[in-house]
Amino acid sequence: MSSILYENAHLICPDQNLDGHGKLLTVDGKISAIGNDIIAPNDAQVVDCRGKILCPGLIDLQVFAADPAAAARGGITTSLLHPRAGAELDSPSKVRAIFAGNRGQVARTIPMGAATRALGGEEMAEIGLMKEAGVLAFGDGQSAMGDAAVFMRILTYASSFDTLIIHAAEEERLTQGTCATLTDLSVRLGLPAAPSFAEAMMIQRDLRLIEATGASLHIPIISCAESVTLIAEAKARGLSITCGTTPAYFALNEIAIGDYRTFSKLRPPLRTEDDRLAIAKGIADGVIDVLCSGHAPLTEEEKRLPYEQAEPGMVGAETLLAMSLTLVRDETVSLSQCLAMITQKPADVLGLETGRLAIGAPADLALLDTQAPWKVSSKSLVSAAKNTPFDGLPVQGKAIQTWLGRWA
Amino acid sequence: MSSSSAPPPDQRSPARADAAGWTYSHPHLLGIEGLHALDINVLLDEAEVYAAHNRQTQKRKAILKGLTQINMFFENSTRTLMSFDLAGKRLGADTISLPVSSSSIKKGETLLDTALTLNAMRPDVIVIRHGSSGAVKLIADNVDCAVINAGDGRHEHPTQALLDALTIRHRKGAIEGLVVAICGDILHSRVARSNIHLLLTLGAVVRLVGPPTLVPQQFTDLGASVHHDMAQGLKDADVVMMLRLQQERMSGAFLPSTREYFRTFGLTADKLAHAKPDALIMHPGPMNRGVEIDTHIADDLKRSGIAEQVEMGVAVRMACLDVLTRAARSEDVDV
Repeated sequence: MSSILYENAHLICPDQNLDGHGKLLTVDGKISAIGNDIIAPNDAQVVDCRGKILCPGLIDLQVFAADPAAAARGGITTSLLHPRAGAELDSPSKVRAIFAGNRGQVARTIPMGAATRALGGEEMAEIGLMKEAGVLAFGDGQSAMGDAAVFMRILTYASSFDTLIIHAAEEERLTQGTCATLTDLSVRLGLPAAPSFAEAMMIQRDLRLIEATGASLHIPIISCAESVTLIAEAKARGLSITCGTTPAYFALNEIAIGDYRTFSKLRPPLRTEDDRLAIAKGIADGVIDVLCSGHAPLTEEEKRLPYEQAEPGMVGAETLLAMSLTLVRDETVSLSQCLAMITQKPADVLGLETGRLAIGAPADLALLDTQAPWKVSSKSLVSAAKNTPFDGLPVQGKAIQTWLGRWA
Repeated sequence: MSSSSAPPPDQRSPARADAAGWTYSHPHLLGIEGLHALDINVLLDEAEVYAAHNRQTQKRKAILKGLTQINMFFENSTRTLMSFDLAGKRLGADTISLPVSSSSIKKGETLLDTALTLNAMRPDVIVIRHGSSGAVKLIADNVDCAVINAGDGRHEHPTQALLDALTIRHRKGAIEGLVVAICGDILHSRVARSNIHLLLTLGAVVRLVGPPTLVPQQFTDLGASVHHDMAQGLKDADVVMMLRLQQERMSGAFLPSTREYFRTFGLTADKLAHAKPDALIMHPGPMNRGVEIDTHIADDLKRSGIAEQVEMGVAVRMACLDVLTRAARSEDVDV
């Protein structure tokens, strides 16, 4: 029996409505007691939290590479790895390899299974067998399934396994060959651009399909005003839909691409200031359920190219917490709401036991100093890649340490 | 208008302001956007001098003697490359032209490496054309010498806009107050973007004319008006600037056919009749006769400024090479 007693902690758990000073005891990787009068076993290791926040480890619903060092630095204990070209995750053996790779790591990476073979958007992948292997959600990563018939069959088939489908909202017929949002800025820069409603169009289609099939859908990133409106309406109608966004879409707008700054080249591309404000409001109103990092480590060779040729994506694991906390400081959400969006809610979307300080739950924990000031500097990131669009930004909030518990 | 120091730009119409005494202070020429009217006028005034000089038999000068000019064209070009090469040679520079076929640069990774290699050869000015918007800036940020953008993707082609402006100035006296209609494929055109910025900065009224697939509404945010009807767009225009329609746009994606395009947007005598009787006709070349412009109109020497544009091209490029290397040249004491 190995036990850890966390003393002198500010315990916050949105799920348990917990926000106060106390102790937490874990035994064999599970949370076994919470309170002020815990009797710990004599051999328990004691962690003095010095009044800092002890909360569930962060859960990140969108990464494109396993990067446990970066995740742990960011307070993240579980990351959902999306399939991508080169790492398609479209067979049971491929997803098992991801689970196996977690041994000895400081943060957990769980695979999202591909919905179609080789992410081709045509033939269904072995959803049932991958679910048996432990996969909780399926989707084709950033490639949208453009064929409505294929996607409808996937939703229908997946619903029989009671599994979640995650689908990128992008009408690729409109976005193909483009790298920016169609606005006066992209017109001026001479960048091939697509209208932001390329995202909303796909959401509209998907909403109709989940209504028809009764399936559950999660959209990993929404980035524009129209999408917020559509999802708010769909939720009001009772459809089983959740969505997320990354800090880039509430902290930055298209101006960040400036004179062709490829570190700000993202997918979806950065939008207008109106869209940014709508995303922030969508967060405040609870339309947007979760915040994810979109962590996509890219090399210099992939980024230091002419804008059109540079790969889209950003590293985000190490900045997810601090950037999310900006929403607390500007009073968009409360601290508890903010933490819910990176702990409990993503856990609920995936159906994980973690993401809460509940007796019996796996002891995936994070000790946070939400006030600690620091400056985002691409050079000091532990991630192998440095492609952050927030370079040089002064922020507050750091993870002091994370602990991984035991999953059933 | 005595001006020993830089004149305060906002006190009179900057478009007409006297550029004497003003110094072009940008290290590169990457685009027209962001240039002050006086920057543009400095370059045009210099080009004016070179235009006169180029009409002499003895055209060679020595002001760039000993300087190295590298022309790096990642996209096929004959006339612009020749024009820059000739401009450099007339100023006495050692010019090297590297036509880099697109096949050898399949991946952009080598672009920065190529730039760094070039930089190590210590050129004094690099002229670059690249198929990707922003690529020239990427190189400019990583080399130590002056860089001239000879066209980057759909973004800008500043020397083309300058030579167009010089041609207009010759024919029309001034640019301020003129109505200029730019017609054709605006969406994919760097020539159009540079011209829009330049003409608006110098006080012209700019109309963009073409099918909605090639002239999206977003261009109105740049300060130009958008028209999808030639009669309306050309009405009382002083200058009609036709753009080249790229072959790959004609095959159905943006337009149904060339003959339909010529019927609706090709410059013909009846459409030109809507412009002012003395309207100047321009084209950056090479022309698709019978697609965007009627062959008789293209050849009408009285109305067409097309040949003059080519001539002004060399003068403008000489001016740019001269102005951009001035700071570096003044550092060398032993010249």
